[in-house]
Amino acid sequence: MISETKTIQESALHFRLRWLKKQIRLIVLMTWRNLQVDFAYKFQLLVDLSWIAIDIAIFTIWGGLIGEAGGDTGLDATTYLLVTVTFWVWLGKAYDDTILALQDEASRGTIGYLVTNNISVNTILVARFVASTIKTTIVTFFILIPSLALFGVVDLGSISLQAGIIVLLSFFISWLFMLAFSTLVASLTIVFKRIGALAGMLHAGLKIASGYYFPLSRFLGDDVHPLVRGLIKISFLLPTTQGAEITRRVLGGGNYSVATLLTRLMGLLIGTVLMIVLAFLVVYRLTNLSRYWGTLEQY
Amino acid sequence: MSKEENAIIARKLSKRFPRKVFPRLEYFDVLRDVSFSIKKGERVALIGSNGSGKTTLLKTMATIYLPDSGDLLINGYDVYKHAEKIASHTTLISPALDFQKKLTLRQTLRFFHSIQAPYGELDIALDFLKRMHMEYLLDKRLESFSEGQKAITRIAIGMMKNPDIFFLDEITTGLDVNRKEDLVDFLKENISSEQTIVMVDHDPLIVERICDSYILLSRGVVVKQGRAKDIGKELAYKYEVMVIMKDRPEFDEIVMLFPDQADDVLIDGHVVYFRAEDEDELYSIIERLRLNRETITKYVVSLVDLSNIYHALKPETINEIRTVEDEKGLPERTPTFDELQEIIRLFGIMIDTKSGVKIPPRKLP
Ligand SMILES: Nc1ncnc2c1ncn2[C@@H]1O[C@H](COP(=O)(O)OP(=O)(O)O)[C@@H](O)[C@H]1O
Ligand SMILES: [Mg+2]
Repeated sequence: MISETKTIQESALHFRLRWLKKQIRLIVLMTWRNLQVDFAYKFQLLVDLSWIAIDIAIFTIWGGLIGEAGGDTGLDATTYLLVTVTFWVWLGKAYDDTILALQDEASRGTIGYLVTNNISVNTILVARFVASTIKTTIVTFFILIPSLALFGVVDLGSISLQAGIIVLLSFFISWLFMLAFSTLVASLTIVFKRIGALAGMLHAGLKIASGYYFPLSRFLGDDVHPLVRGLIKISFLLPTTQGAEITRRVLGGGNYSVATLLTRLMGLLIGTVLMIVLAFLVVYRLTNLSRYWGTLEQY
Repeated sequence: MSKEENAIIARKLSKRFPRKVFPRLEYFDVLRDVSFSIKKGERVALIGSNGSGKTTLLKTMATIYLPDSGDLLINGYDVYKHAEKIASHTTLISPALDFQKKLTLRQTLRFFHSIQAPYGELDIALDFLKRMHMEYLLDKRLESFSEGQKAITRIAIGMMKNPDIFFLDEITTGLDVNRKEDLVDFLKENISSEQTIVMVDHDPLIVERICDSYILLSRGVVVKQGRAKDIGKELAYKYEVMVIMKDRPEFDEIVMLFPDQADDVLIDGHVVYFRAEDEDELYSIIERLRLNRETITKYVVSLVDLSNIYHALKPETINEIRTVEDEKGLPERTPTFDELQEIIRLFGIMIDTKSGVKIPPRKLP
């Protein structure tokens, strides 16, 4: 009896592993195809690159006008903003691309071919996010890293190994959070179609909350309305804010202790796990609904 | 009959789409209580006028849509539970499916071959392209392809999957006569007797050459099934002659010029359609066209198009269809053959059997 149960369990596990392997393979293949297409539109890459350059220029000036980042950050505003911009370069672009992915595949007429050939809606979205991350890495490699070094924003030598690992982890987990979040929002497009405005608002909201446009810690003084203070405190709990904060403190050379970094990392991790579960449920339900309503190939 | 012998079993299958979602969800029915079974290795044609639900049925079987009620078993798998399994053993080829235009034909084939793994066979696609004289395009981007070349590419990708069941939706659309011939030959040679085909095509010759049987759909209801080689027997007409006139003709004028064909004429602006039951009648129409050559720009002879099947069906078949539809309690009624004739005679309009009668956007003669 016992050994029998064990075999069944093992084969179930084996089955799951095989399924997982297959899914990963499909994501890799789909990512590769996305990159092939992305790099065929060379002009678009140039436009992406220009936007990053413009962001860097604008936030350098803007930071200079603001002065100090405030709160207990121990950072000047330029450093604060530039590190935040860097943090978002990958996540923001990948989010935008992912939101458009299904509409793009539907309007090209490619989605029907994909879903009848083993590629699920989920795979399309995840592969789009991964491909965009890789694309951004390649495109920005030659501009972002040199300019951060050039402006003296990041001093890699002063970062301890511990803090370095925490930063890498926090970036990876933030990336997972945005992957799940993008998938969730994008999956709305298979049923409700044009959701550009909503997606844009959510994106802007997350960026503002993470201090993209202005260091929110400046608003924590006693003279600020308690409601605003409350809102800002809540925005600090968002996983992307936690990730941005860890990155800024460590890479920008601000105040931090490993203990506070770890607390933030835990917050980030919990938020991300919740988001992944939620995204799975939503994508699953909406994919089914789109098969009932016949909306998958519409755009 | 054992379950394994059936490739597809549909029982009281229904599919509907939302007509509107807001403020209240309202649906319209596209397939109603569709039941049929298709044996393994059988080649079946779905016929019916535009909008009768053929594509919807194919897409439901190919797991793009979920049925709203009824049973649908493909290869013994339930579409509600095992869509993934079904998708990897079936292929849908439809003109609506398209590719990333920035990729070359080779990149596209490789991509699809790798996602179809472990089932696909790249050689099938390459053989097919060779047969269609398209090898030289392998390293060209798809954005430069003609419609015909895209149609071939779609078929190549679908064939490459080497599936148990083919769902072919109007795959010969956009192909010239020679390529159609090559395609039919290739399908006949390369699709084994184990593989099942369910196809939609408007060319009765193609249907007759590829298929064993047909399923006739009308407004989402299966009204008739039979042997493919009997389709011809259901048709009151075999040929259609499309004539483009120099001037917009009046009905009386046509009757004068073509006295023998006055019963079977359809006028649509500058275009006049004649229909012939057999070769003799066809020749007599062509003879008349020759006599009146100064009034016409050009004419095209073709076999009756199955997408307009209700124009061509025999009166008794149409009455039969009406009986089946009445049993299903359909709200609207298909006009009888006599009524159709009367409408055509009076107005010279096209008939859309789905919505009843549709007047094309033009002034009546
Ligand atoms: N995805 C969809 N959403 C809403 N309506 C649809 C959808 N697909 C088809 N229809 C409608 O269903 C009916 C049948 O369409 P279709 O199956 O394409 O017919 P056929 O292929 O026989 O011409 C048409 O009225 C069409 O407008
Ligand atoms: Mg169709």
